[in-house]
Amino acid sequence: MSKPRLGKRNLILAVVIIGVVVASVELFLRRTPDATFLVALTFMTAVVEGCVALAATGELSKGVWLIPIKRELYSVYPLLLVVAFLSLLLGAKIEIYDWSHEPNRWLNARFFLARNFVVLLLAFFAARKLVRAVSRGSPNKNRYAGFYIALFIVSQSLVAFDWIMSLEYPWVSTLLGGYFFIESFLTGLCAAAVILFFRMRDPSHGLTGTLRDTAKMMFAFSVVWVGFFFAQFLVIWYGNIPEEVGYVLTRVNEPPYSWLSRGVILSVWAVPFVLLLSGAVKTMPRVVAAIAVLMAAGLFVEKLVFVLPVASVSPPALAVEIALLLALVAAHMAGSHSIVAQEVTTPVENDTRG
Amino acid sequence: MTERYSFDTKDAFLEKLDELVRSGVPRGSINTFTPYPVHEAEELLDRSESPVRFFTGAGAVAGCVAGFAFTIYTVLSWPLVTGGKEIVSVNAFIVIAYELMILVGGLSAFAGFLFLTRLPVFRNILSDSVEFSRKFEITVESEERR
Repeated sequence: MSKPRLGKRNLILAVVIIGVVVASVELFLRRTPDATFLVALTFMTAVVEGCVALAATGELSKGVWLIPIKRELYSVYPLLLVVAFLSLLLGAKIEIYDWSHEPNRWLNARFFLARNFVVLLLAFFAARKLVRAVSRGSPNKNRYAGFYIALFIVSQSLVAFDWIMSLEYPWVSTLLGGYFFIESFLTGLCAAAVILFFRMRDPSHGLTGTLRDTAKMMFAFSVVWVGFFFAQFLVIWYGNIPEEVGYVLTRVNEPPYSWLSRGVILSVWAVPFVLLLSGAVKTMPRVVAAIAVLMAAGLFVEKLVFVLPVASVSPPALAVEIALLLALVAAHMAGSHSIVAQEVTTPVENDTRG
Repeated sequence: MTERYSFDTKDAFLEKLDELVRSGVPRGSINTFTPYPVHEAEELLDRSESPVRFFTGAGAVAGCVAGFAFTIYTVLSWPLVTGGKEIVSVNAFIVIAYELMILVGGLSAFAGFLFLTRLPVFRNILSDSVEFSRKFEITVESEERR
């Protein structure tokens, strides 16, 4: 007997219901301008874009290790469309941005919403083209993978500069865009580790090599992440310019943000770095998945650290929204067979790669 | 005396290698030459984990400690306040410690590799008869040769 699968119709229904619920909550029940929805949407965008970006990078680099989980990673691409439309709801919360009272050429509500919507929509269409090309085995898949990655970089940079950095305008960090798309990629890797955990419950999985390689990539990208963090931090600390240093001082020295910041460093870099040094740990699905969840939680808390000193967040509403949005991601991965129609996976020839 | 086996396919090569290992040929006397890395061969020969990592780790820790020690010792010996920062400014010293960690770690890894592989070797250990870009080769060195 075949396992029950989530059909396309059920997934579309789930997307519509959850989309309408989240939109209704934000538009009608919670009319106070706070950053709850912004935090949930930023994290959701990182997860969805990161998963597809990871698969697209595997396509371009011809990464064999990624092949067994490519279908699940690609399966979340329709959520890019959901994210694009949900981003328009930021219009209802635009007052959390100080610049909304004195708009300028770049930072004005209409252009702000429009450019983010358009880039997310383009990313969706690029991802759709890519998934279709991969499903058909088309030689154009590398071109679409390149398009998607370029749009992913632009989109995550806009998320960083527009959604997050402009909360404290005129504070600027030119590296924040790069920092965000590295974070999104790392979130995609964390999702891959969780997918592998569920796939490896089947005793005949043959995925140990893929898990090991995923854990290695998590290790590498946690180091890249801390490198990006330190590159920004050191320049601001060394320059000690009042308009720059205030942003960091609030988050590094003032409780509770200072505790949260230390927690982020511990969970995204220090703990994974120490644990993933071990070769044996990299082959344990439970431990790797636990580290992945810890890292993802750290990246989520970091979004709060960015936002909390400027705008309030409602914890119950955030918990509900993030749970609903992540449930959508999980449902799409579980129903990946009905989204990515053709076989995109082939058996891994060599599962004992070091 | 060296026995030599040459194959066109990876499967035939791995089959022979497995047969040699099972027949009791000491793993240390077997050498393999392949056109691309074949990790199954490393596993069969039990060479998956090289001790060179201990050299790397020890070198990296030594480099990191030396980086901090060097910077802290020098600023304490000649204290100059720069940009209003503390004399011992760990943030700035992380860069030096990190660079030294990479440098000493890398150099000690290379030294460890040379030490463990007993390189350099001046006799010819490569087979002259095959194209390494296409063939999979196994050589078994006799006891006297070793």
